Amino acid sequence: MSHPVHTDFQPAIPKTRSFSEAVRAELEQICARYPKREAALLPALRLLEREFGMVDPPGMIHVADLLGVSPAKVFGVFSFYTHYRRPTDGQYVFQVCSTLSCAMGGSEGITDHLCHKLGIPVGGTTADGMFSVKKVECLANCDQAPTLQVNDDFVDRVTPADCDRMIAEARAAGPAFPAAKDYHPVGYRPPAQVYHLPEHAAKGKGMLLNHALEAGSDTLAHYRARGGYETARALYQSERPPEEIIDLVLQAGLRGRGGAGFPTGQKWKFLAKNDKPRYLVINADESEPGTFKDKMLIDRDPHQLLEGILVSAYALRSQTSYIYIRGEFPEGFRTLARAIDDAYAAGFLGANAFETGKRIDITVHRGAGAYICGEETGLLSSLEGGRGHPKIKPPFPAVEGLFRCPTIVNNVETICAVTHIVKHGPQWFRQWGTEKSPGTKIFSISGDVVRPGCYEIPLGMPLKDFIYDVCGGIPGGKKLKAVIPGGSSAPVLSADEVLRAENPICLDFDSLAANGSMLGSGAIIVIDETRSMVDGLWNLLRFYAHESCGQCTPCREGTGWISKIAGRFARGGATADEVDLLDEVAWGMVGRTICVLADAAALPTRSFVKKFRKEFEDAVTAPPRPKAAGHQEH
Amino acid sequence: MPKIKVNGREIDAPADKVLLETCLDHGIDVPHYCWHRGLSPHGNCRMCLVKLSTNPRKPEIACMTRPSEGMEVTTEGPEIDGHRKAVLEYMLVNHPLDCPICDKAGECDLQDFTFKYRDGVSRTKDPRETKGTVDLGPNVKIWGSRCIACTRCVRFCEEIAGTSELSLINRGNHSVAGVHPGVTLDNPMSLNVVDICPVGALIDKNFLYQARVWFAKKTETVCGGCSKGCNVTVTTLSGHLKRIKPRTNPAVNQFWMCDAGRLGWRWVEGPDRLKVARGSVAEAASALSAAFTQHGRGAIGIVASSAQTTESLHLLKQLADASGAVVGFVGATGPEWTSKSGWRIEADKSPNTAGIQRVFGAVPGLDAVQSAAANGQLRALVVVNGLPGAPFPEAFVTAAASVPLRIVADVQDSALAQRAQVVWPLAAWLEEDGTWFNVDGRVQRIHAALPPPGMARAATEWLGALLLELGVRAETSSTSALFAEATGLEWDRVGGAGWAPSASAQPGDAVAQPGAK
Repeated sequence: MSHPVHTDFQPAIPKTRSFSEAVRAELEQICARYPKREAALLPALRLLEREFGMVDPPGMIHVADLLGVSPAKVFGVFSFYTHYRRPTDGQYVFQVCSTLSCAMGGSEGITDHLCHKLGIPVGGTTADGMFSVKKVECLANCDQAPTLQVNDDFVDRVTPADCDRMIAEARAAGPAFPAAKDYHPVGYRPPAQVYHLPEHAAKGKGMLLNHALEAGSDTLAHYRARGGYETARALYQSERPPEEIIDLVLQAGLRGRGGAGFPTGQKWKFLAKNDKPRYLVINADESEPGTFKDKMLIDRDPHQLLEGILVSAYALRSQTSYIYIRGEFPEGFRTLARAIDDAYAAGFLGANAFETGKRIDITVHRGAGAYICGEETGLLSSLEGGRGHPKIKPPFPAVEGLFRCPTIVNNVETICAVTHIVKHGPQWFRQWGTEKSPGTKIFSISGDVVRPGCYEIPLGMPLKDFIYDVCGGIPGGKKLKAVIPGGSSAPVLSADEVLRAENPICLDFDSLAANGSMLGSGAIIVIDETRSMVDGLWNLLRFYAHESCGQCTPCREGTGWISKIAGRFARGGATADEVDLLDEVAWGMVGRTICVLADAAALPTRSFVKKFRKEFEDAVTAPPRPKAAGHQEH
Repeated sequence: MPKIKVNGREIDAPADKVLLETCLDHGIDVPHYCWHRGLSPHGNCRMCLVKLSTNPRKPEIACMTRPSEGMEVTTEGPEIDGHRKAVLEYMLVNHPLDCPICDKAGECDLQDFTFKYRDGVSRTKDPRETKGTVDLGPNVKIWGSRCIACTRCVRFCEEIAGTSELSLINRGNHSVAGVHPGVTLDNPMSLNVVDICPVGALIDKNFLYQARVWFAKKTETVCGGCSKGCNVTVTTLSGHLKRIKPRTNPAVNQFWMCDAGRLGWRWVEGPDRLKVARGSVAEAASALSAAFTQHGRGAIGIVASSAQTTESLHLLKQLADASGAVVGFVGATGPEWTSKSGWRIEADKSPNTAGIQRVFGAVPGLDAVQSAAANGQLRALVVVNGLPGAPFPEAFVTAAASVPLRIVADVQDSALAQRAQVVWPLAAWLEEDGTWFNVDGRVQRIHAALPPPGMARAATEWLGALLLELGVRAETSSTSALFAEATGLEWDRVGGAGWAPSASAQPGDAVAQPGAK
């Protein structure tokens, strides 16, 4: 396991930790954003990180005391997440993204290079305490594979030479080197710099990415200059019944853009009608391997999201919204925090939104490294200050969710669409897409493709056309072998299926479902003829095993088991009967668990084994990557 | 009340109970780990999956399902067995094959369900994940690799004890119960987590490697550590004490007992026990008779402890009435504690103070006897103790020394016993039968779990023989007969769960069932 495992804590740490008065006041302000103090636990651990450079036992005991929870609770939460700084972490933590797209881009070479250069194993820290190397899971930067995150900063398309330069700079400067939080390594892309984007979005042919290339698009001034907040203003200053807004969204046929594709208007209608406060929670946890579109929306157009929240909150009669953003997006967090501050200052948020006396508050809540916090009830458990444990359903969040109150959880992209629907009407939205999958969708494409990146296109385009006509096809003219169409949890499609001329597979919810897969998050990973499907599956199963929350028996043990079986297919040691065993053990998890992470591991497994069976059978005698001496066990 | 069908059989299913509890109440066996009657449900082990007519597509957990009118439930058959077999297989992927060295063997749910539902064939080939063997506190150690992350122990510490020392830590298949570094599992009822752990992960350090439970004898009795009267089961092996565990009684202790009571038995087989008698019953009777004849009523002092059974107290009352004795009682007190859930440990660290009240009508202290001894009024003193740890104050021991005839019946040696002419070794509460009345006035039976050592006997035996010799009683009597004489209550009403007669109860009154208010 490459994620840190805590059984014993190391000594040589201070006996006590105590926040200054100013930081205690800051913590109180954070507590005030939630109905229960406990919910400030994850932010409080971030304060420990910021103030003391790490989260350690004395710090945890201090936080336990301030929040009125037990030390065991704090430790249980801290040890669940991978992203908090530990006492054993170096000053600069090299986090090498190791999930499929980055692995295809050469992340293993980067990991090996760093470990060799620094003389430490994966997960280790140099003796001088300067550098650590960690393998981490998908950082949502797949078009820039291989991705390295150094402390908070992303380094795109990192090379061994980049690594050597960063290490040399840090070593040469010694103590004079900028403090970790001020350091920006070579290759760092500051938020003002624009992303590589294809022509579609640049020409404003869509809805959401029309301005993402423009300098300053993340600022309030830029947003207002293009009519931003006017829809929300008109709505709040009107007396329109909220149900009307829900109906607009329902008529538009907007379906969830986070993965499940559930009709948004219908989900909104499920909201229980009682006296409890209603919460609108935005899922910005974007961790599905291959997906990197919400990061773009947050980085490049945060106010679009905020206005979407305003409009949606009106429709839902909600006064309190939380944005749950994954811990590995600190830049996104800062961007959102700035945008929210500006919106408060402009009078769009707060107790008197648009001077109407209506209240709407938005709070950003950082996660700390757990894919399962993208599952809506895992997210809610985390937002409540706990381990990211999905909840038993029923009851469903719309009836009993956050703090046991009616809650709607929606994806970033879904909420961004809402303002446009309300502004232009359902028929305008339906100009794109199909009858049952209307509108545009931002697809993240990565892997063996000439032009990886984010593309906003109408739903319904044939998948092969998208890959070959829009994204340039496969580099080096290689042949296609497989496509993962909707994030790693979507069953894989073979080249024959994708390239089929008759009744082609199209990028909409129903076509993909009819063909045994799913649109999911719209993350497309293209796989060429040179890749091993056995190795690819092992990579994905290691992901699910790392990310299983561990609550329920089939997933906790099953994901680990199939990962190990896949590992022996990849490296040698599997037996012929284990091809069917892999399928059986995967299938055995389905329908017996608390949430569908088990399904997300199991259904792709079955699809790989079914469609690429020969590769698995051949791997028994000729594994694609026999054990290499010295290579770090995963 | 909703009517449901379980395996075709129609039953009434209270709306406020989960399906699992209702099935168990009706004797329908549904295997489970993480659910417990005394804790909130969690739904993580997935062992209780059943088929519901309300959701034909996939199985549901019975532990978090409420019944609805007309619901049809299937808890048996090949499909359900398939779920159980699968869940067990996953659970056994990393669980170490520790049975030969694991204390839980023989009383382990994982063993039992695996034996019942699986065929003994493992399909895994990979090395198992390990999770560390860790000391959690003074009494409890965890073999982490065995932990199935059911969170019963976590919920117990949060909901019952209220001390919250435990949490699940880490993630995925490294999830394990643990404490915050340096903040140990240390509360007055911590060892209950060992009872409720479905496997051998949480271990009582005091019982570690002490007995294989299938060789052991189990005796149902009541704890003598305080006036709460927790129902317990005592485990002995070859006549030696090994362990005390709580026995469920909703009216007294629910499912729990405190650590002090659970561990308070070492003195019974300790080195301070009195095992040799000094002076026979006949000699003692003769001397007592003489004192009474020569000095009349008020010349005899009787002191007993609140550890004495009701039956023994009755015999002492008969002796006191016959001789006009000055009577006093000794007890023991200690810290009281109430848990978050309201579970209380009593300050009265003796089991039968209420029994004294019932038999004697009052519970006078030692003062009257002590001053009667000091001023020379007493010619004979009869002390029947039973509480360990020298409960008599110095002043009393000094005053007693001046009484001409001293008869001491006790469990342990003491200054009082050493200076007595007659010494009768007593059986400890774990070595005798009888009844006690707890703090709520509930009468409960105690049963000997092992024989008393050497010449030690139950107080009722010594006193029965003495009263026979003195002519106060015409015959020795059984415990049940003495109980009826002492209380006017019917012995048969006092079952394994005790009986709570009202203050004015008469023989033949309706039995108060456990749990009735």
